[in-house]
Amino acid sequence: MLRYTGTRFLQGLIALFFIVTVVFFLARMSGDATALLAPPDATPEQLDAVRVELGLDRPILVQYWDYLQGLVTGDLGRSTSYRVPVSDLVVPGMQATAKLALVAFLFALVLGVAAGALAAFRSNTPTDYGVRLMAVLGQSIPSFWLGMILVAVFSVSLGWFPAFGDATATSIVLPAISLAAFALASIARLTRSTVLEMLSKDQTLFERSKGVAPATLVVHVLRNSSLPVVTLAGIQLGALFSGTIVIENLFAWPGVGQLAIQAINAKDFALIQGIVIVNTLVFIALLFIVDVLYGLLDPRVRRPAASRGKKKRPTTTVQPIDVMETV
Amino acid sequence: MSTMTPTRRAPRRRGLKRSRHSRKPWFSMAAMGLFAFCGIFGALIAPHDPTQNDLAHSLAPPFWAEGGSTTYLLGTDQLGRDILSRLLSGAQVSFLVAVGAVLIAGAIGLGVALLAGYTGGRLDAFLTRVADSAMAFPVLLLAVIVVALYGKSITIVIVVLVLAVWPQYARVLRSEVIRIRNEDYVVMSKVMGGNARWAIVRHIVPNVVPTLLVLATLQIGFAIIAEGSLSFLGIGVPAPAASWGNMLADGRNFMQTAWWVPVFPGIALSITVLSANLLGDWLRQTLDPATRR
Repeated sequence: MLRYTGTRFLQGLIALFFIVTVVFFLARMSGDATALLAPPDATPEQLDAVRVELGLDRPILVQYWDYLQGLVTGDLGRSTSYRVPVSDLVVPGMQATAKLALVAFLFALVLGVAAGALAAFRSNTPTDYGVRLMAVLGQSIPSFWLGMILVAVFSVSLGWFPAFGDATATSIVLPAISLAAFALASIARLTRSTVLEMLSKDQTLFERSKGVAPATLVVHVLRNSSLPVVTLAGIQLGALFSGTIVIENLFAWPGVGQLAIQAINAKDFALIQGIVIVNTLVFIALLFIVDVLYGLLDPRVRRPAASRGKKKRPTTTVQPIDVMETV
Repeated sequence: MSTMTPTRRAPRRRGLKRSRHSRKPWFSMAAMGLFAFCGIFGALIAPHDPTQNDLAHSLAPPFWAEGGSTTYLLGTDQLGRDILSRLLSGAQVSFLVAVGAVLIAGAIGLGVALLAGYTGGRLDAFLTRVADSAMAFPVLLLAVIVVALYGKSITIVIVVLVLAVWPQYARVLRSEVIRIRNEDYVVMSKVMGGNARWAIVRHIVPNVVPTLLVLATLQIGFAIIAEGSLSFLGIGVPAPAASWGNMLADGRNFMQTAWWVPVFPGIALSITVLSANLLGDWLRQTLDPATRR
């Protein structure tokens, strides 16, 4: 398990390094980096000053090395529009984003698994049809349109929840629901189909014929259905973190998503670069956690024989589940 | 499907589900047909110029509401632009972006899948790793960097979507290619002196078409939502061109006072995506290729 975790950790670091490198060289390749990193209204003299100050007149590999060193010590450069260090903006922003994304994730996971399992255990009943209808709708309605409808109904007409900001404790309700809808629907659909498949297995029939209590049966079936759902949940959690960009801008939620759009409009590339790197870091950390969880849930994944060779990475693959092994 | 070669595969245990879904999704087909029609001929049937301001008639309601007129059938927005014409123009944008991104990404994905799946070995391992990493990177974040560097345009939207979508095709199709490559009839064709090109063109490609079709249909919904999100954020299709996403952004403050400004693009977006998804689900169940979820 330790070796498996170590390998995954190293892979995460390599991926992060790769993204950082690509972002760095993309910015340098798309023309004069000084123009990207200096305030948009700078005069030629100021541009020269910025070039010297940021060391952009030095060889590119020297700059790259300095940049990497800065990253390791938490220095993401200076925002040109806010005129403060990027980390001062991105860290509190990421906290707000993480809060929104995690609340939405918990909501989607708990409700999605519950609804999907309910639909599977009561397949071909009105409950099942209802869940399936909601799931298809949830996957089809864009989050920002859903958010606008929710605001019109629940904050403007009914006045139950605030329409924007994060001033009160209930402010998070509408953005979290709008954000969660797609993930919830996907998780519900996958849970339903996985549980249905599990219910049709011989081993479930065997348990039934043995007279196992219904509650125990439900637990067994759910546990055996958990692997694909964990995989999907991991993917969805990552998607929620980037999906906040849309929701934050609709609900004026003070996270990195709103910051990113402001940065684009202000042509503040240092800030964009910082946001992308911190977001990638979070994303890779999440993938790592899912990988480790996967290893804990499924012993086959962490066995060297399974991880060697050209097998696909388990994080993004719905692994076939051999139920006879787990029960 | 005369080109399909019968494959020897054990029937999957999904017969029960298939029977429930065998009804043809007429609604989705009709809606997608309408979408394609508007996407191709939208500019010809639009009653007005979608970017023409008419401040004297700003926020005119649809024709059936009080104060509405048949000049502007679905009303106008805050700048007096005709909503119907903008909807049609938005359909063109969505159609172009969705079809463009899905076709290009499909072609790249198929190419990579054939290369990786057929060749195998190190190249396969490398390409699979690249596809995995590319898939792990979130679309919206990718869009933020690309737009920050290269500005906003329809082309950029398509490029971002292609970058985001191709790995999905590559991954799913690769495993299909490997499966088909090892089928007896492909092996036999090689034994009988057929070369790799023959095997790929004659056997493998025709057999991955159903999977490709299902993936493409499911990706259309995703592409439309992604384009809408980017335009809604103001980093997609630049104003004043109409896209359903930026129409919604324009109309977000009018939900109460002039509902027709946001509601029509919202409905158009939802129904189009819903239809694409339902059609994709139906195709998947009917053709039953390797895709799941």
